[in-house]
Amino acid sequence: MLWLIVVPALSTAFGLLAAQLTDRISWGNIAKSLIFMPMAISFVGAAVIWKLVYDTRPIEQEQIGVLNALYLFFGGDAPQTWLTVPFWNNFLLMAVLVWIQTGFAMVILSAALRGIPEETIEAAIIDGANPFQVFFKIKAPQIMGTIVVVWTTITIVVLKVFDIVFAMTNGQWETQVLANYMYDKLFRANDWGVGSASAMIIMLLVTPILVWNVYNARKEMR
Amino acid sequence: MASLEIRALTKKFGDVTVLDHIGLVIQDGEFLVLVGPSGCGKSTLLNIIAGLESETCGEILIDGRAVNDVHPKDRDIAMVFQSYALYPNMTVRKNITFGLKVRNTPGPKIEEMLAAVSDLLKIGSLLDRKPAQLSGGQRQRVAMGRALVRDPSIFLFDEPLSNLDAKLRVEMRTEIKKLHHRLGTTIVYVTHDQTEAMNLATRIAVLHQGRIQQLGAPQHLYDHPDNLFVAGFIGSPAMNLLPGSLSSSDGGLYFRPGDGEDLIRVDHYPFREAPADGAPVVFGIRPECVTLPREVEGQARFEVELVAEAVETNGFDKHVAFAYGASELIGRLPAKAGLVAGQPMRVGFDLSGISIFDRRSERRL
Repeated sequence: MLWLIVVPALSTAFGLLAAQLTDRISWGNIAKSLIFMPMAISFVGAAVIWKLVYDTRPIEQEQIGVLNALYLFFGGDAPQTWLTVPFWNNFLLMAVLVWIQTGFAMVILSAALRGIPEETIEAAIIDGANPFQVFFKIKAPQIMGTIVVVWTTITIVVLKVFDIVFAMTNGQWETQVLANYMYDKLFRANDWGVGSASAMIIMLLVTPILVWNVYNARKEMR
Repeated sequence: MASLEIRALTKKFGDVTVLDHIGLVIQDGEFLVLVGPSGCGKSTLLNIIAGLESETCGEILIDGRAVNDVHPKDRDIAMVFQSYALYPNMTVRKNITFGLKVRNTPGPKIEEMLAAVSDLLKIGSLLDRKPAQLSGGQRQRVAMGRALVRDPSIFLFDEPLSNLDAKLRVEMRTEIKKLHHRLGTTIVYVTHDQTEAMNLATRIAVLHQGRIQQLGAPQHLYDHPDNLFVAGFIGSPAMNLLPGSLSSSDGGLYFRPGDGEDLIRVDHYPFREAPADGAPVVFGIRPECVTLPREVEGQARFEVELVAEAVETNGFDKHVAFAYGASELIGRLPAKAGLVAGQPMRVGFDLSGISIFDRRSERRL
């Protein structure tokens, strides 16, 4: 549940922010390429990279995990095993997916932002709107359709997420997700009944969102 | 209401100079039309006045106050765009009141102003529709409503009629003219359509290659174009321009068309300075001054036999293309004039309203 809200929301928000900001700076295209880069990495690869970020070494050794290194630098007393902290470790896993999906959201939303007629923005400026009002009252409503498509697409990705959890925690320490649960039951516990049931549930959850997504995408095209 | 003054305004995009030392004073309540062909810089000038683009150098003063560094929203201007630029996600009501809301105008005041504007523009029944549900003419009205409701001191119009069909364009033109009469606000209006400019303006500024070619009342520009560009640009069909030279003989001054033997007497022409004998000039005559000999009144006249090459009927008159030496000459003949293409006929020139230009400097002599 948490995944379904946090990941699409953060990815879309960051994507929109990145799209808006990179359109306004001279080195925006380089920034865009960098933000888009994680899209080219497989989920397992990304999981391994982030596992190293969260890595923990005994206190007497040099920390190779960036998070622990920072934690100690800013006065933490002992390195933490981040991925085993219940509840919060979920967010550490989500960060990986957000990192990957932000690039996708940015590219689509940036194209949508460029499609907004320049004159409506100029009209709003002359009307007296400040940059926030221009963004939230003029630009965002005009690309609402695209935002919905991006949001639902990422939601579908979230429902299917498996590799990241499998590679990083394997569902331990309260980080279980549906797809990993299905895999566990189906191929590890040989409990085909529960495994198939969870597969069905994933499908049932994905289907309505997929239908809605296709409907919106078609509406966008018109 | 306010006056607007532009001083030595220059705009460059890289090495390209789009506007070159534009100077312009627009009086309070004036309807000034900036007219010129595409790419002459007229829209850029309007955007600079609005504050949407910055100038390379020069000054803009509204009511004597320099506004170069003033944000567009604080310049007290409103703009109507060519594409209308309505906010597609908002209803007509919200489109019109958006500018008031972001300026924190109190609610009852907004309602009052909205009612006044929708009355004035007769858009009361459209208030709850979205722009996509409106026709071109209705969108145009809403766009004007959005500008009017703020009661700005200066209105800027950027080719507001060019997306409308011909009939609607004429209607809206009259409407804008009426609106100006009623409100008496200062208006700067950009168009590439010289007919629109002639109809609407109290004064016209003709822009070409980043410079103001001529500034004046519409009739003055029509009768006394300052240079060849203005002569060719203002008026439809365009002024006939015949290259040739001046020659004086028998105590009179004549124009001799380039390759012809004809001598057209131009003694009466008020030369700004005495021309040299044999000076290369361009002789300009409006199509309505090229007509049947009996239609020409007054002493300053000239008759010649020409062949009509093409005839266009307009209902109230006919545009006839004649071959005159190597040049083509357009005449306006009464609708009832019986004439057949390919036949020679007598044609009269009314010489009272001619223009003569220096061929080298292209300036009016």
